[in-house]
Amino acid sequence: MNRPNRHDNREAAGVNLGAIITPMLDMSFQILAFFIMTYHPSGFEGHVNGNLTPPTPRIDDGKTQVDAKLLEEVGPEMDEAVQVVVKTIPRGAIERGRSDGQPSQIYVKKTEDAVLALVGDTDEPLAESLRKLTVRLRSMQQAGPGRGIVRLECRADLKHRYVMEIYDVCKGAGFQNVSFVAPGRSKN
Amino acid sequence: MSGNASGEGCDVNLTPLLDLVLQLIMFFMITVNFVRIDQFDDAIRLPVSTNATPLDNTADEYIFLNLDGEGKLVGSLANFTLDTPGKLRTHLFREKQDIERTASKRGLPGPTKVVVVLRADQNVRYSKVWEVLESCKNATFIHWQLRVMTKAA
Repeated sequence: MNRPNRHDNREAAGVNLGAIITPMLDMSFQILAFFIMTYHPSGFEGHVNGNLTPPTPRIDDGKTQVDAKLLEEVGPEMDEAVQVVVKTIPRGAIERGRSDGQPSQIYVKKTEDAVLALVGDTDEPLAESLRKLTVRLRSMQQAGPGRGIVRLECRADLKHRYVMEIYDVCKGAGFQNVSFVAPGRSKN
Repeated sequence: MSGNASGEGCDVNLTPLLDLVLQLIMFFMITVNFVRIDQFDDAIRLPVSTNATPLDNTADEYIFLNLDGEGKLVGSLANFTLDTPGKLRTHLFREKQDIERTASKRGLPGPTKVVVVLRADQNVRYSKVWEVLESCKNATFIHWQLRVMTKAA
């Protein structure tokens, strides 16, 4: 009587350790499912660094201490700063195709200028206003050394995405330091 | 396809399957980042900025503030009632003191560099962003980061 050749079957099936690996495989799938669900790719997130100016000095109560060394890293002087003022469409309003929270007028002012110069308005697409702003800022940047600072004054209702777009324009025009200023008090 | 005519059943070679499964597990274990919910809150849509720099970890400690489209702080701070700038300033000041106290207990030399990371939704109003930054300034924070997307999703 021929008996099945167990040795041949063992070789055809691969290594047979005699161990039950079903629970191990099951556990592996469990762990794999866990890590797949907790996997979070975040490759596209970046950051913009900034420094805050120290708060208005108050009576020293012996509890609040600000390290003097850290104060040395506070931002540069603003005397030579170019001023960019961005007004916005009021809340709930629509003006020539631009909706609430979008920029309406964009102004630029150099230190020696007496008044703000209008660069962009609502009678043109926003992209065109930003392009004009880029051209104007580049010409200012090339006009003289030391003009590497922009004071960005945005109105309170301007949406954050447009603040960052204008920030990008300022950086793209060659300004190294862009300073955010408190939102203007006027309505728009 | 091989079959077993004798009806004894077919032996499946599980070795490659197990090998690949363990490879995948190793990959995900290496790339997993058990971050807190306030660090990467998917509910917040960040604005796009082409001038952003890649994330770095040069600071000693980070405090994350997530601001939704309505100007409310979400994430771990949603459990606190921080509806006024004064309350936020007080909370941040306490956080900073806790961090500095922990650092001094560990015997770390020099001042602790604490960075406030602001993840603001792209539709939040500038005034709300400014309020938060003002509170951070009044809580004596110096360094801050604004999180943005380097490219549109």
